[in-house]
Amino acid sequence: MADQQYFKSSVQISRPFLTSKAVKFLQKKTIPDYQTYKQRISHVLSFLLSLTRLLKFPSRTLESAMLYYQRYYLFNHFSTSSNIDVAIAALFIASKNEDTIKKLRDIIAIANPLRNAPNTNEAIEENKKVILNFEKKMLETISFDFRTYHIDELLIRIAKDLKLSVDLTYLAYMIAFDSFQTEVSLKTPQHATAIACIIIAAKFREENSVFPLNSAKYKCDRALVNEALFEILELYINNYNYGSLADMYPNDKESFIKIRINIKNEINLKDLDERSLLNDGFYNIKNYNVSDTGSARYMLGNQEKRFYEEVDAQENYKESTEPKKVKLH
Amino acid sequence: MSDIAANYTKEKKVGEGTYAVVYLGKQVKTKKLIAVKEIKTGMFKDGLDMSAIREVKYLLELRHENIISLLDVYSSENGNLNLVLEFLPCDLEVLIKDKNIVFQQADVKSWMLMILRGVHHCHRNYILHRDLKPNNLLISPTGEIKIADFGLARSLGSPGENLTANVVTIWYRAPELLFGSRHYTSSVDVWSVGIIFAELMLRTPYLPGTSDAEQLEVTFRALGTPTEKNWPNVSKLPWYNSLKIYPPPTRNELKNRFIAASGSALDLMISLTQLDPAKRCSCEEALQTVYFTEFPRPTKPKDLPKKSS
Repeated sequence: MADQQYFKSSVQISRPFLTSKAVKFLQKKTIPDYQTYKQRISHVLSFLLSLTRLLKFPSRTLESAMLYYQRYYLFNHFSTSSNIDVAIAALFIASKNEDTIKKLRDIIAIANPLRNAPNTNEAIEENKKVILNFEKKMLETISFDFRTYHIDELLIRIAKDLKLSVDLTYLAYMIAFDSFQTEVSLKTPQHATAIACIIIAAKFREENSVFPLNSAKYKCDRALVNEALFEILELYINNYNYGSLADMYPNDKESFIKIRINIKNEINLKDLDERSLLNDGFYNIKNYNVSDTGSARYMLGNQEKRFYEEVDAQENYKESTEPKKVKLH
Repeated sequence: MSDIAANYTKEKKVGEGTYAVVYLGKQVKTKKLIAVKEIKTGMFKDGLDMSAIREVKYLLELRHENIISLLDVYSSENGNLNLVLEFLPCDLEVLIKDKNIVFQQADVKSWMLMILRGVHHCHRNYILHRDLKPNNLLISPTGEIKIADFGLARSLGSPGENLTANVVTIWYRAPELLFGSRHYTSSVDVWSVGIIFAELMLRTPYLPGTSDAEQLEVTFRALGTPTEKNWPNVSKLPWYNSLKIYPPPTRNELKNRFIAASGSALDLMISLTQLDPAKRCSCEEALQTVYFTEFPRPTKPKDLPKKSS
């Protein structure tokens, strides 16, 4: 056949959750100044929150956008000159994936006044190009993995099952909102985070009837819950003013420190060692040239077995042709 | 990331839709035929199309013999997204329209069985297809039905979430959607399956409306106008107004319309096309009706009628 063409390709598997060390390892490569990045996250959250409100998006769209934003900067260089464009791209993808779609033009037209940018026709067109470019990169970064779960949905179901008061559930819900600016969504699945939010709320209010809380009932490993607990408490301990609880309880930072001290001996997840991170191709910074010159293939975790079979086959092939090899897991 | 040798070839362009171009190709290793759906992107398209997102999202996780399998997801040299799907040469619409083919009762039963199994698999995973029609029911070389085109699919909404009523091709659109309901369930797909069942028996579209308004008319002329009596609270739906009241068809009238249908086939069709979605049966219930256990047995997929060429 005359116009027959071959795919030359690389393959990338989606890993929705990473360990703390893996996250740090990646951020060290992509983020020159972590302090600035952290401050920006809180700013991005409030920017996207205002945008979400004006566009009448539900909070799940905001939640996904924050996840995509943070995930993007695990594999792409962070810079304060473009991070708001990246945030808008994240919200745009989230709006598609959460079935709350709006035209990109409309999103930009509402976003521009919020960020004090010019809002002329030309400016919007120019902006659209920039954001669509980020969209493409972001989709590749998330490996076209569109599975989503939401903390608040699960939180409310678990709270109902535990017969928590509306008041306590509301507090847990606010904590869940604050968790959007932590890195918890990169590390633990949403049901673990939801349980962690309930635990923090109950400990803070000293509602001890909630305990002992059996997370296994919700198909959740206790170590995962603890991982989420540590992550969220870190926000309240180190940056209390960034969270929304600071408005509700301005003088209560100490109680979070106390909660943290009381659980310091709890086990959290086993982490990877540095060597396995260095040797795993997954943790390389995104190289878009691969998909520019050849093509890139994407898989979900449910195809992991096939992924490693293919990679091993490739490794064996390489071994026979060249002396040096890089192992992938 | 790691380099993997070429896996697929793209050989011939076989079709083009609004958001994708479809090519025929081969899996290099196995020489198996595949279809590659290349998603168009560009400035005017607002980035990656939502249909593509939905298709990737659901097909990557659904695995069932009556649902099309998405083998791989690629982004190619030009930056476009490519979905590698199994190659399915025919669809049910082609067969229905092909007047050289005679459908036996057992053939219709076999297709219905496969359609319901596929749709049931979607529903038990809380996924609504929302665009079931003969032309989206593809047929494999071995005769199996494969549900395709998940471009409108979504997961079952949580209570309080508004869904769009503007889904499903109008001929196969359930009455609650025609009334503009923002809350609905898997029963919208069940309705479509019921209308497809009717079409398989009639060999012509059962409710071919030409506009949204006429679709209401056509639907209710055939199946009766819903009222508060047979569908409580129906009058509260947004577009329920000034309807011409048709009486529901008697069993005899239906019997005359579907001459070849057995008693249990008619029973199944009636419960699939209940006006009130709460009274409509589920796929699971449909699969357990006597229709599927009584004689004649469903035809084996490989013996089903094929496209005459």
